[in-house]
Amino acid sequence: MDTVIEVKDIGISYPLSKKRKYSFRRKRDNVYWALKEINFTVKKGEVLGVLGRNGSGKSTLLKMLGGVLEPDIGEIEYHSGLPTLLSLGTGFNPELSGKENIYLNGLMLGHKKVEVDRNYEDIVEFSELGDFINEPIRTYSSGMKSRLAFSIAVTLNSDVILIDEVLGVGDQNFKEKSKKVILEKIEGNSTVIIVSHSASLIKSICDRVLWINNGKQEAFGKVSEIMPRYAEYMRSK
Amino acid sequence: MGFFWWILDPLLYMCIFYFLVHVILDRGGPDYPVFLFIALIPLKWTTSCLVDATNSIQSKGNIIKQIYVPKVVFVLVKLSINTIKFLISLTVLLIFLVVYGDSLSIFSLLLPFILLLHLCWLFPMMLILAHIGVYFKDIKNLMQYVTRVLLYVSPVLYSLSTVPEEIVKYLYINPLTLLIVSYRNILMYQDSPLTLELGILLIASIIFTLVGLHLIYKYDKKYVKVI
Repeated sequence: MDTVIEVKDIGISYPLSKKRKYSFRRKRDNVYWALKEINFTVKKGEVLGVLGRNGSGKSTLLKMLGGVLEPDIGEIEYHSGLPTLLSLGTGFNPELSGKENIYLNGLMLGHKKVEVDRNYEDIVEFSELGDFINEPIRTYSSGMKSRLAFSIAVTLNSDVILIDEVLGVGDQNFKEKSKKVILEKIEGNSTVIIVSHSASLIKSICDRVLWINNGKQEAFGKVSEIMPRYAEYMRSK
Repeated sequence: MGFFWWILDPLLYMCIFYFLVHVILDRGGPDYPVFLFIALIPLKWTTSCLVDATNSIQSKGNIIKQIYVPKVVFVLVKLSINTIKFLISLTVLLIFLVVYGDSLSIFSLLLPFILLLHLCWLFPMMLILAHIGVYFKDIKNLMQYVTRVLLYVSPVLYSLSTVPEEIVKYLYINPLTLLIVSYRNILMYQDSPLTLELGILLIASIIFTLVGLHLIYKYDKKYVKVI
């Protein structure tokens, strides 16, 4: 299988609180390494799960893969286009209608207007919003907003999709539907990288898994090999 | 009312200042409204651009945390919005000039060039302020005073001829002084703009644009970390 993304020893640091003691020496270690020494590859058509506890750097990793952040050390090699971060409702404007927001969001995700035109009906249908699509977003419930956002992101295709905990969106029915459509994407040769701390979700849809703990790569490999270790680690905590 | 405000806003703005200086303080001659408005409108363009620039990147945290957008776009958006508003005000002003008197001359045809130069100066200032605005959030508060000072150190309410001579040369350090004097020369006094000084401003603007663009692109993906 072809490799889509190669991550080589990347790390990213954040500046620590600005309060500096008066000193003539430059403090070189006044940073916090949110992620360090991460190495993995993503193959075409696979589902890679990124597992870890809260604050372990999972979302930061996704942002780097999506090109929002740049690693301070190491590099990421893309062998296909830049992946899209499936983010919920980026740039939604509450005053605009659902329809206008579909276009706005679609364009922001880097799609052309004709692509959005082509997929518009599918998005509306998938979101189950019906006639509400012509109402301003501020009148939507939070569930409706998330459903619309998810529908846009998942309907407008890209080669690699990055997902950050979005399967928790909507009611049971919509969750099932979301999971199903992600599995369909995978069969349609899309590559998916999904971040979650839900072991059961990762077990059910992922092929391989990357386990991050406190910004360090704990393990990377097949789901069947890593999940027992993760479960054991979580129990020991 | 939406779009109508864009026309009403400069009109009200001009009325307030006219009322203050002409009616209450009883200063300025019969030409005073023209004199005042030619300077006020470019001043307002400048201050709105500078103020809006300071949080142009910083306030878009929710977008840039999720999607990569070249940050220069946010600055360009603010510049465009304010420039369009300014052009509407300017149209109002030009109508006013045509109706009010016969101060326009062949020199008035230079207006587009001075506007362009003004734009060339605003853009790098906005880039640099947008950059600073990310790291130094209090700058938004500081800008209130900057705009106030800009109003007083630029010959908006007064003419340079009323200023003591030893101070005038310091006022020329302010690029807005050069621009306002030039606007008045071409629109009111049938005179040429401050060609040499504006030439220097153009060169400075080009240098600052390079510096500003360098900053914005260098930190393109680093802003996300601190927002």
